[in-house]
Amino acid sequence: MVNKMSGNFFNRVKKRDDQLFTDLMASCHSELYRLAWHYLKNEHDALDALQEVSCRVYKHFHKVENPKYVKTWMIRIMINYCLDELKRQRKAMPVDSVPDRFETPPDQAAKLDIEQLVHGLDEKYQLIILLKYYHQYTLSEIAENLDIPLGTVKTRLNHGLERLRNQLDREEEH
Amino acid sequence: MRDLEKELTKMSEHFYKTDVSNQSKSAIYTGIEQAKKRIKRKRRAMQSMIAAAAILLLFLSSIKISPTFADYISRVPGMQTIVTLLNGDHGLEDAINHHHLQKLDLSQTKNGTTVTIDSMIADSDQVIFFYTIKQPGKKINPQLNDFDVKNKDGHSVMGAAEFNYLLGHGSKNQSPIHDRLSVSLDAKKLTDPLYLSLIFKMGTWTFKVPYDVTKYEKMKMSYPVHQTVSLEGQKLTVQSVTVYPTRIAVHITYDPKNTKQITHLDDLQLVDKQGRGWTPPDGLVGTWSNENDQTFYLQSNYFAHPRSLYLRLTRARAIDKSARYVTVDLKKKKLVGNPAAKQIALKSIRTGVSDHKNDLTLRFAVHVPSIDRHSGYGIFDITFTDQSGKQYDTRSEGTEMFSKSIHYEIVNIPNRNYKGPITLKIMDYPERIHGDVRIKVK
Repeated sequence: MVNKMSGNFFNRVKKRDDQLFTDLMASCHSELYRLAWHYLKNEHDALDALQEVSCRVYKHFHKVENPKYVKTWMIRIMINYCLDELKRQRKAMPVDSVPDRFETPPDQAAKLDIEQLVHGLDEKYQLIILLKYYHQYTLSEIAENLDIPLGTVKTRLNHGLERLRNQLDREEEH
Repeated sequence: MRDLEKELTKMSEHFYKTDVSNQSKSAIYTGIEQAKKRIKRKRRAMQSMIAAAAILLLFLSSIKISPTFADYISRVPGMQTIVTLLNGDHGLEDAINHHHLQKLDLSQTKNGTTVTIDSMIADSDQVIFFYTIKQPGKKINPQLNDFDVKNKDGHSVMGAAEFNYLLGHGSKNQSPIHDRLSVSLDAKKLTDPLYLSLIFKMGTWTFKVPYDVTKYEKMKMSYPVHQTVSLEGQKLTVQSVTVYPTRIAVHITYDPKNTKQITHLDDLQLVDKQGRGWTPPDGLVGTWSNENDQTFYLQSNYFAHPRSLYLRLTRARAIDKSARYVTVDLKKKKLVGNPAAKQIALKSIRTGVSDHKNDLTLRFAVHVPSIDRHSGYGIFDITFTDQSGKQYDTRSEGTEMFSKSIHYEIVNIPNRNYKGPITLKIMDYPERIHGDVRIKVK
């Protein structure tokens, strides 16, 4: 499932060939859009996120040392953008208003619950869980992409899942 | 009992079933276009004290504020926004602490858009306006196309100026938008009131701003220095240091007989005996009257009252005067005259990549030392000549930071029938001269 970028392709992109860069971004647009949508829960904000993240990636992609890591890097930028955006929206929201986007149909409640719990985890746990479950990376691919030992990936995944289980248990108790 | 693994798998399936907006690709294209615009920075401000110019402020450093100031701003409504716009300038923070921020609340609404000049910090050298744009229900980017400050006789009093429309959420067209506009003033033409015009895409807003000429004229401390020092044999004279509430102006001239043209003083700062230092703000750092006459700006210590002041300088950017011109044969796409500027190579000349489709885009690779890896100063002048000696303007210039050691300098020029190769003048260059300058100012 993991669509890695070839080194040659990336090297050409690094030279700021606009067409190739656009191709690179376009090849990931569905995944990035879905990621944004699952955080922000509406098309308008997800499109804004995609626009801003494309802008940031274009400006800073020369910082990515290894071509293989560019997609994970974009995912990471998107997650950080969405978390910041949610924080900003919470700050800006009047206390007595309940936005439509948080109202969910009953049959989707469980699904969205778990997603919201994941989005509430520490960013380091969140990233690994999302790379595994949204983007279908294997644990060793995650280790390689994030440049951290496989053991650390496993520990973070277990800690993240443990936190989710605890939250589900607490929910059942209530 | 809920099964976590099952729910995560369902979450994953749900992720892949989510419909993708048919506008998602165009959002990417818009994002890329936006990035290109942010990269382009026109070098206009270092032109002349009188020429109206605008540069984008790049907010590179994190904002640090003192505990006293933090306490003060937490008690005043609306101050948090202004603090963000101060961009960590301690001199301006001090000015506000000393009640030098003047409330204005001048508001005008046109076609549903309200522009409010909230407040200003002024002295006889500069005025900084803080303003807000409100567009209820609209999603229009209120692009500031131009602006001017005029006196009551209708003459412009504006010198170099800077504004920042990227602050906060650059790409988001959100309302309200808070911004800051800093305008250097021509001290000889000031009147009370002044008239500030903001020219947006959707119209022009003009405000009558009270300006107490006599009060501001008194608010400065001038220190004549007139001392000549040298860096690797290149002479420069520190003429004067003037401390205003909003900034410090250090006037420096270079000896016309120097073999190198000094283009920028890298680490110019003022220090006192207590070890405090005053460095340039993030933003406008200097203006030129001519190549041998520059004024550098530092964050103000007007309200800090240092007992002693010393000017310190250890390095400057400079280029051999004999190597200041680069000649490019547009037809052969080659550098034909580049005797000593070793750090510059012509990479390509292309059409169709600029906003103006027929423009020629000249791309130079510039080798930069690690000290410059994050700086994007423009290398070339905004005018060039062809072999007939006729002078032309470049359309735009920009810097792309390609890697740690190479920047691309992009120059877009109109595609005309130039006579022979064209000659570009180097205005700034990544080579340095060193020394150890310490001058007593006070």
